[in-house]
Amino acid sequence: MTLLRLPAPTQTAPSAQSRRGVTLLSGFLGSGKTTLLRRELARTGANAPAVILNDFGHTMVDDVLLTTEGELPVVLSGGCACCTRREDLARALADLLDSEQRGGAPRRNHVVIETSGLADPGPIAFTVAHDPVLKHHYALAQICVTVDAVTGLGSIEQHEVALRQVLAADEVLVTKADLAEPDDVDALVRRLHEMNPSAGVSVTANGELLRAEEAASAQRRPAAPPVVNATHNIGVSTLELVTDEPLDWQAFSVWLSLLLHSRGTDVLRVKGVLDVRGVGPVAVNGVQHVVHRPEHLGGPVPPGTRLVFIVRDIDTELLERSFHTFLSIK
Amino acid sequence: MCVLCYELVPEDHWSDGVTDGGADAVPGRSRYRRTRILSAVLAPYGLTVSDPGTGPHCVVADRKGSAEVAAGLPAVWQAAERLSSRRIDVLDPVLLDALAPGGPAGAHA
Repeated sequence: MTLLRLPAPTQTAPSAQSRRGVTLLSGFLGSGKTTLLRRELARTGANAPAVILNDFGHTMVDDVLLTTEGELPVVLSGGCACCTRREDLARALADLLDSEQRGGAPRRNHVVIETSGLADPGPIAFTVAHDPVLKHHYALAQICVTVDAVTGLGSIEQHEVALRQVLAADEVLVTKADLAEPDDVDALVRRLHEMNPSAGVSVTANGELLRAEEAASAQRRPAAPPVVNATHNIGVSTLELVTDEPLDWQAFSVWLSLLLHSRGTDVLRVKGVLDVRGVGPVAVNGVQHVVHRPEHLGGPVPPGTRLVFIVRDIDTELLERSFHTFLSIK
Repeated sequence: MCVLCYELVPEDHWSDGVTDGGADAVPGRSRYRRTRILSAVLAPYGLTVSDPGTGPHCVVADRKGSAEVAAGLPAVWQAAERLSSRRIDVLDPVLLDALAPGGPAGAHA
């Protein structure tokens, strides 16, 4: 497994019926997405994923850098795949299927979409999950977001889209750690854990992993406060809901669907593991109003429910009260 | 669309991705439970929810006899807001008071 969790060269290919994994590689302008992806593609060898490259500008240079075995990546330039180029993204994914099914190209079991530095990953995830054709062929594997060790914190505090990228991440990759002081890197990693407790944080330099830390919510810190306002951005706060008792799936799903219906634009992220009564551990993962199909977890998981919310302009105490009230409906 | 009854089948919703009850599940128990919870949530808005027992639908109705068939949770909330002419807000303190154990909707459920 690589930094982006792409299939390794020796990994057995999944069956032809399984959906192709999609990794979104996002990150603010100049945060090292292409450098990281180049290294990753070199590691994957024969299992190289298809690459879709999106850039805000009209003139591309990265497509040449990301060529694998003479094959150029699919390029979407002149806009962001989250808005003006969203239909083009859907078409590019459909074209990849076409080229396979007409016999011209080998099946690719994974696709990496490198977004523009100004793109919001949420709408892109929505395109993959809800397009009536694509959703049967592709499944979002994870959202990886690069953060520059030197300038990343400033970008997050000054540009809302950089913050949204971090909040949407399953995995945050701190890049250019060799250019920053170790203490500054440590402080950045702590801030990233506070901002997005549901994301793992890895520290890299030149596309090489220096160290990896699992998500703060998975570390089960006993003294962690239930509510943390961890960003300087007004109105954005984090809430971790914890229950020791197994919860009722129907009550939870009614509550979450109503929350997304009434406050969906202000729910930036929801992620966690539920201990569902009569079922066992179930992973829930959502970016903004897009919730992926829950995943039953077969392996050993600590008991209890831990669910992380990152919300904007929502009273987290009221949110917590609402959660417990719905779960208490008999 | 169902080829037998021409009924429009709604898209998969994430809330249908977990079948609770495991091997000991009683058939229809999840639907019954969901209908019961929806009834409790929408009672403070003067609405009732019933399950016709076929397809993925439920019926949301007001006290004047108006009703809408809703397929899936998002459609339930939309129908409820149309019928009640009110915004259904999960953080509404009045709703939470009504749902709290001992409250009118909690007792109703």
